[in-house]
Amino acid sequence: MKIYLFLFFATLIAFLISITTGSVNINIFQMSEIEKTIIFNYRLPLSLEAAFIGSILGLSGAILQIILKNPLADGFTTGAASTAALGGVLVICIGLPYFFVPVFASVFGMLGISFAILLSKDSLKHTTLILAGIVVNIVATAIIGFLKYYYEESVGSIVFWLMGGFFNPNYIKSTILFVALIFSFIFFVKNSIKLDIMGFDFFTTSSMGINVKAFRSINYFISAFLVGIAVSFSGIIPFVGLIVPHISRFIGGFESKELIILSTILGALVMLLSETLARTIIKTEELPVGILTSIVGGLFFFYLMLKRKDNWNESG
Amino acid sequence: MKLTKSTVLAALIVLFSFNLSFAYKRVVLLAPDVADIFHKLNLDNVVVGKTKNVKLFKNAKIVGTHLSVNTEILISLKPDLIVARRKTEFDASKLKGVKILIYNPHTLKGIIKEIKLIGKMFNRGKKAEELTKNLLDKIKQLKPIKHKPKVVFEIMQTPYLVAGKKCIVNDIIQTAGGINIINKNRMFVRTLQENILLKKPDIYIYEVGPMNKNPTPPNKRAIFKDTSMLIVKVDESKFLRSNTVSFDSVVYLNNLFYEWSKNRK
Repeated sequence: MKIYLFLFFATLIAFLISITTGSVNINIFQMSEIEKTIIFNYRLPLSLEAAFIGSILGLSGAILQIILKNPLADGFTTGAASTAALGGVLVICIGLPYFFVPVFASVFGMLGISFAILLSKDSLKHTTLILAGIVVNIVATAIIGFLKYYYEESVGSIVFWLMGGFFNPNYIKSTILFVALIFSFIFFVKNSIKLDIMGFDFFTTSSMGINVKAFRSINYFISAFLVGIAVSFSGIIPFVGLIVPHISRFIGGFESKELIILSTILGALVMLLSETLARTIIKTEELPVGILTSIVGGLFFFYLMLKRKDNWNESG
Repeated sequence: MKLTKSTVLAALIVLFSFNLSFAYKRVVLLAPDVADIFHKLNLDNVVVGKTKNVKLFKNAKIVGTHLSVNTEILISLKPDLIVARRKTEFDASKLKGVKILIYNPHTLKGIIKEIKLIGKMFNRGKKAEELTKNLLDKIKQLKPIKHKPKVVFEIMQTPYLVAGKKCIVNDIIQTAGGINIINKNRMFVRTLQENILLKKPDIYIYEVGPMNKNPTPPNKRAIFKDTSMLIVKVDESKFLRSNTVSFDSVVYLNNLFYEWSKNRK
């Protein structure tokens, strides 16, 4: 309970820092008219969007790692993120209004996951699914490459969008993200005991009355939908879905319920800090947040690799 | 001695007539901006290659785009002149002996200078003089602007890019009587929309075209919706290409600024 409260307050402080810090620092107790506009019309929806997307990525990463029993599973290794990105890129290339980006990205994300399941020949085995996800990822990335080449006048928009960031934030986006997050969070928490049981082998889980295939598919699709919606609003923000569940486990999220709650709060915290840093690191410019999470994520993985090297060597 | 004199004279005549009659016959335009100048100097017949986005010169072959030129097509066209924005746009090592003209002006004066140069290169000096005179006449007839508006020109909504000092748009705005609020010595400047709001522009111009395909109109964006700035939508091809159309854009903006300033005290 203590850790939940600590993380919750840390996230609140990060949120406050996020809305008051930027190219101009704003004292929320003494604001000019322009500063009020900046806070209420720009930074508030921006910070809300960042927090909800961080939570979504953390939550979906945790669920994918639980059901695939693989600590390397996240929206990227399952193919959902890159296919969602393909949907978004397609909209930019064709020149449809930005409204269609989330629609296309979510639909493409779900299609990507379905295709990965089809490729794994309906086996839903952990490793087969991840391999299928990687195949889908490669194909989607290749098609994105072709689109960048063919629609070269849009290449600036595509590349920047793919780097990840919170573009043109508004309250509608924040509301959509919040609704998606809250419903899936409740669903996962309600089914957390089943998720714990999924840790056992297939026969043990089945003998406890769980339709393994159906339950895994539902969780898989909801996670894919979450990844799709996050990508559609913010482009590709790597490593959050991978790192956050790791840290959550490290600070005590051993059971599914704990892992879900910790990953959701921690995801928001990580993303708020990254987003604030992205906006302040270069004065008057906004660094794509995906670049920051990639650097931090890469370093974190390097640390994990060094820490576990001895164990791997022993087991090898 | 007589023989020497006549030889020298003959050589001079040959050299002189060669200089007069020589003009490039096979030109490839890799800089889309220059196409309009070639067309207005009646040089359509010498253009054998162009990039994808150039609509003029129906008989010219497309050699790719200015970002990815197909070297094989370029060589097969046997050009004697290539007009490009930068030397790095294509593999020049495969085209030895071909004259390369760099066309990348970012001021109206620069455009005039280039038109005269092209006119000279193709023996169209008189035509170039006429054209430049017409263009300069447009500038001479601009109306004086009493209260210069502070202007921002949006190049792209995502990523958020605005025109800097090295963009032709900067000179178009200044010549028309406005002030570009972006003072950075770059063509395109990356910034945040909240920074633009803090600079309080009077007029917000946003372009629509291949670089900014479907932008949300600024007055419909949460951050700008409460501002009273004048929002103007323009066509990318009329503002971002440095050519004769740039002068018409000056006239257009001048009228706009004039009407805006009339209502200011």
